[in-house]
Amino acid sequence: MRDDRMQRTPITDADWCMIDPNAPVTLLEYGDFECPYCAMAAPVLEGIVDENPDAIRLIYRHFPVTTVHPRSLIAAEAAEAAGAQGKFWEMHNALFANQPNFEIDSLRVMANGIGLEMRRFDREMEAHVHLPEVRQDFRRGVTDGVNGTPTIFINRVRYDGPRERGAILSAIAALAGAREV
Amino acid sequence: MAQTPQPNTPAPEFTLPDGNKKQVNLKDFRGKNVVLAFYPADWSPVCTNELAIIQETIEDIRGQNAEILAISVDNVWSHKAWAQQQHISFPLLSDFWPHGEVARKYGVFLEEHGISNRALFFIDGSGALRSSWVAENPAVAPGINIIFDALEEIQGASKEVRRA
Repeated sequence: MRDDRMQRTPITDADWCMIDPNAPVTLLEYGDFECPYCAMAAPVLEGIVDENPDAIRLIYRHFPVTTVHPRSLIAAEAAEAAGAQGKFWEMHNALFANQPNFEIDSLRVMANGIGLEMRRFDREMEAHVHLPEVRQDFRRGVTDGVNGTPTIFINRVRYDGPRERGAILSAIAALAGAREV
Repeated sequence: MAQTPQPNTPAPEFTLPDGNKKQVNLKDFRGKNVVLAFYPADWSPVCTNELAIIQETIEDIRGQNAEILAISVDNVWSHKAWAQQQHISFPLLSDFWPHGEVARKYGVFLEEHGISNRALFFIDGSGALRSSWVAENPAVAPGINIIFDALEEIQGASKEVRRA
């Protein structure tokens, strides 16, 4: 039987990557912008990457659980629309900071606040131009074995421990140590 | 803990009420694959996460000729309220009385806590148990890939039989 805790899909250049794409340690997060646990984890993960910019990169993929978070899908589309204008992480941060106010007017205020070109944003949101990317992330999450939001993988191994700085850094150190042996 | 039933043997039969007090019998699902999802408790954060993701992928699960039956020791009123709040559309079965009897049959009742462990059992259309997954740590939910891997294996094997 295959190890069900291993990330199976590859990271690609199309993934949203915070900081150095060549960093040796990869944190992959499957997140839902309406999920309170994801909002709590966001500054923890960003802090870890900020402190170790040469060593650790963060990849974010969408896993909107719409039955319990009905606005998570449109929020993910808004993040992708911002990404198309080079501002994915700015929108990512704005969404978690403004959770769960994701009516279209609120999303437009956030988009304007981070300096997006609004006509393009409106057009893409209305036509759901970025829905396929969000759906693709969700499918990859199913393949990789998401078991909640957020789900975090450290170098392709699912991390099920506490979403706290010390615990995550210990897990990273343990994985790095295991590789050297 | 008691032993879990062995693969390729008939899955233990049961009848349990769902949140609408309708009696649900495993036999009613012959011809379909069945995923039994035992979980510790309605309302708890990990179970909420686990069942929300199952609900989010329910059409794909049903696309594998499968139905999912979730089972905990909570009573029918709890199941009804929780299903409404979480928009759960698959049956939540109440193993409340005799307390945990079905979980015991499947070897996943945690005697010291009075609840079921987190576990998945995959049953084919003939009623045979094909595979299972039991949590090492009930606080960790199974990856949703476990359900799809198991169902694809059952579906793939049944195609082989039809071809033969």
